[in-house]
Amino acid sequence: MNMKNWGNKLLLILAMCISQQTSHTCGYDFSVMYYKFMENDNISDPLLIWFIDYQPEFGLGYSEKAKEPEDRNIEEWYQFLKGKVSKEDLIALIYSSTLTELEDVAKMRSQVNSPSIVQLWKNDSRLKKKMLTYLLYAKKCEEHALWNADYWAEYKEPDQGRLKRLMEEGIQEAKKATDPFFKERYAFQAIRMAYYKGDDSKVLEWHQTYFTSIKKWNHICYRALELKAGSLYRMKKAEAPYLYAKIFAECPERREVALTSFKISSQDEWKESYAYCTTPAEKIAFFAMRGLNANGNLNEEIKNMASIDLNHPMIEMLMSKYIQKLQSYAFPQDLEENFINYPRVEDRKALEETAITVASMLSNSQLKNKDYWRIAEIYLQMMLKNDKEVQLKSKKISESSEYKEKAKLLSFVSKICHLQNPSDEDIIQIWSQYLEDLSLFSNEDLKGFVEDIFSLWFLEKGDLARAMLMHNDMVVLRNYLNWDLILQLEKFINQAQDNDIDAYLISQRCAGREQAKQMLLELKGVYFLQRNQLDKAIAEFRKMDLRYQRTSVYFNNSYLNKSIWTESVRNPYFDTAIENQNHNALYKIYPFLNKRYDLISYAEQLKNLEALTVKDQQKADQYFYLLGLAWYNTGIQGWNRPALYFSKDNSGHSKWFSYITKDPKIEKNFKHLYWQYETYYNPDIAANYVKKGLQVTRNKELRAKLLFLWAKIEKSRVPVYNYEDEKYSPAYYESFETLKNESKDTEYYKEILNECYDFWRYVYPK
Amino acid sequence: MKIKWKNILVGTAFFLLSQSCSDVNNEVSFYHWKSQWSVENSQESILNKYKVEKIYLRIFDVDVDEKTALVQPQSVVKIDSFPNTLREIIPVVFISNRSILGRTAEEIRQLTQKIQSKIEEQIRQIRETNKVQCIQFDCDWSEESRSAYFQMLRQFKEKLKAIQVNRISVTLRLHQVKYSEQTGVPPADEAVLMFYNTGDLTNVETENSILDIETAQKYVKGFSNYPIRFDLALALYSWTLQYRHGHIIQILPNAYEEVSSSKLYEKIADDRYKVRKSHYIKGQYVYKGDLLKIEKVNKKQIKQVLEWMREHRREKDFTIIYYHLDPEVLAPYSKENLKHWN
Repeated sequence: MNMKNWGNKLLLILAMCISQQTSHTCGYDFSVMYYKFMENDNISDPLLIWFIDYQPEFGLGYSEKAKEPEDRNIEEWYQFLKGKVSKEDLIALIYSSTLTELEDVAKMRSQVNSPSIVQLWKNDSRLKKKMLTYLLYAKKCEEHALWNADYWAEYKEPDQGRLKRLMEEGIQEAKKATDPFFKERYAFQAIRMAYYKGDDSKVLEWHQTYFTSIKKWNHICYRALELKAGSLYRMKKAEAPYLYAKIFAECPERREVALTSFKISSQDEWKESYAYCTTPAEKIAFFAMRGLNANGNLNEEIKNMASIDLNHPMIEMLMSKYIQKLQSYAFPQDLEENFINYPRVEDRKALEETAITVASMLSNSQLKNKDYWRIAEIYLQMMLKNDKEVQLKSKKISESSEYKEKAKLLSFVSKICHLQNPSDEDIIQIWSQYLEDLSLFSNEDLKGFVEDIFSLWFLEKGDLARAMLMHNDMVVLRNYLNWDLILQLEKFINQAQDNDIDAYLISQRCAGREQAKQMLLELKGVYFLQRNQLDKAIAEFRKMDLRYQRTSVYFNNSYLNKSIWTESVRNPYFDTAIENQNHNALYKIYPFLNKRYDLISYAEQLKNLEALTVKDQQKADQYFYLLGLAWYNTGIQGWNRPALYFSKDNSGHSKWFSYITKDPKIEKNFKHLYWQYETYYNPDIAANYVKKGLQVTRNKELRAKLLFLWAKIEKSRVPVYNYEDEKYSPAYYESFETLKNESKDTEYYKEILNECYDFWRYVYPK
Repeated sequence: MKIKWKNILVGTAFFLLSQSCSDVNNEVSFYHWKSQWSVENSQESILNKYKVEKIYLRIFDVDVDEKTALVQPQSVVKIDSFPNTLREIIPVVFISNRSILGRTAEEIRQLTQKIQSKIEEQIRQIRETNKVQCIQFDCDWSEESRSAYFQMLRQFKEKLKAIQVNRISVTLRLHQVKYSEQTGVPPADEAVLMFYNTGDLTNVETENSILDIETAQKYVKGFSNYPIRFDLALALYSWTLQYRHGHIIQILPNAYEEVSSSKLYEKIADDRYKVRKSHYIKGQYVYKGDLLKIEKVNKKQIKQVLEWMREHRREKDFTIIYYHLDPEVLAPYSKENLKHWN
């Protein structure tokens, strides 16, 4: 593949990417949409999946494969009650009940809405009293935990007196409680209130009293430990980060809190804090959390962690995060930035360093989940463009391995990324491979990427038809019509080969060969119509069979009947009632207008108007105006653009003079101005009719309308506002100037002044 | 060779002192962009040192909370009390574009009401010691959010009168002044042009993203046509950008002295250093091999901006508001430095 030509090819490909399909991409990182070939579901510990996409500002990532940590608080209540109640009922009672509802239950004014709990309490009134007393107290504490839940509410300092009373109440109850289950919970709530009150010494004292001698750590122990860590952090003690690391290592449901609270500000603090670690898992957590930070160097932290425990699942978590980043760098959907330009020199260096780390892991006989690391190695080799290595290493993953499909996917991606100047046979063979393997064909990310690559290959061979169809349905091509493309499409449709790729393009992009032939006639007609060659257009349209004429939504496009002749300064209203009113009004003014709405009728209507300008010269100005309106409105800036061009959402324009599309790919083409080279639009057709109208009209109102229409047409010469020179054509300013000087006493002038900011600003400059 | 930034800055300031100034207002104003205002810290001494009369005080941000997806006030400033030497305090509310993008008129009305209540709550505290007559809104609105933002400003203008706030100020970005026809002119009484953050900081090749003169130059021509009077906000801060393998990693504020003087960094070009050994700096971890790029605004650039203001701006006089009130940022400057740039 000639890399030097890639730039030019990409420009063309960009123009071809106007697809009516939805985006395939599911990856999202740092605002970049990218193709994601390595999902984050293949690490040993599914509880860690959330952290692969973790970003400090945005919190945890999302993955369908991620496993939610279980609610150990509810689990512990469930165990404590010996499974006599349902977990759903416990959740309703503990999390959903309000303080008032619980007070009503305590005062026997109502019952809890949890059948299994009602039954339990019926059988054990002492237990009911214990549970209700604790829950009432916990709900009072909860109010303080949630004091700033509504950020719009006025901030009120916590009520210190109330916090103190709750602290005392909790600790008294903890002292009294004989059951460790309630003792721990009362102590935790008391510590929590002390923490909110800012009483760090009490937090530490009570934690010491109630939690340090516990042998079997439970959920409440970790919650209490969090508060102790918070107090130590406020006291600037190095033990604080250590405690968060311990929570991160041992308590899945509190990992996110631990991670966001873990802060170290100096090397000394790191050393001091790290020295508290007593287990490898705690040490690993230190490096894992530093790696998950925005500035974490994942490769370095992987090495640090591997030196402690080669098989710790958190190492895989960081490795998957690393690959996720690579994907966002190397496979953004923006073709200008994609894999072709990757890796840059700096990226290569980073990749090589990480490849050494991975190789060193794999060389260690103690490594357990070897296939995960082999996949990582394959990915890195793919990024380094060592396809040979990728193919070799992919084959080494055994058929029985759960990573076999990943290996197959990466091997395929690598193969198509590295194939240079593929022969027709190669292309057909690779496509068949892609099509036949369901795991490849059903991968949505791969689909988008494959379309990009195959499209480039066809383009290199000068096969515009297949290149375009690889990305687009045939109907989309009305935006890119030139005679060469039409001939190529014709050739393709008539001579499509009996192979998988042609079969796919014919069936999926053209709805079958017969339909394709009809669509081609329609495209030819549109080609001539866009160029005001009406007889040729009508002739092509008439070649289409009647069944197709009746059923084609593009031939019978609804934008042909939507106020195409409107004089309104702003958008015509497209809702039915007003649209009908507009139509009725128009047909009263111009009773000769055709009321059939298809491309043949429209072309004939234009022909008829043209003829009327000669036959009925007294009204020639009106006919020229209508012709100008029609050509402007069906042009690229017009409200009825979808009549002659393809539009993804089929919408017109929402703003006067500014074209905004909802299709990001079209927008990109606007941005780069490729679009004007690819899409045929000749504003002179409309402008010439307007000029003829201006020459013959003696009607001041109509003259105002013609002048304003002329300005619109002139502005449509530039697809987007030109930020560089800020100039439109001289005719644009000329039309505004003439309008300003000659049409002041017309009604239409007042309407323009009222509705059009640009003209208003022209008349009343700052 | 080690660069003594402090010396350079002081030298710069000395040079600038010798220049005359005719059109820049004599007062020194600052933005305060931290989350806590307290007279107990060194802020009061700064106010005295620079004889500050006016402060633009960010009171809270309005943004979409990433976790709840709700528009919420964030980083609400905690106010202790203000010295009464301050002639005026202008509270500033930052509104993120995404907070208002795609909202209906009714949603905007409701949001305006919530912001209004929050402003009133904050103003009550400020007014215990100081006057508040003007509020500033800081929003980098887009064409899509323009209508919502302007609707909001009109509603504020109406509502804030009830609490004796008679002036609405807005911040402007360069493109909003240059392309006012496209971006619209906000319905405000006055404005402040934020003449900083003009370059692309993600690009390691960008000379100075705080004030990229080359980029900024393209925008200054539209100044004279802008219908609202605007003052000028200039950045005094410096920052150190951390890059790894050509990708931006993070911003390290106020780290230039440490970076330029410590042996932990190898100077590889002007204002560019390579980390020799992984370590913590300013509470952030940098790894061996990371590239640190120091960016700051120099006197030549400030002089250029002031020249542009004089050349292209309609009004003859204007005030400079410095970003931002921070002892570390301001350490190299005397009051005279900040008053006489030209």
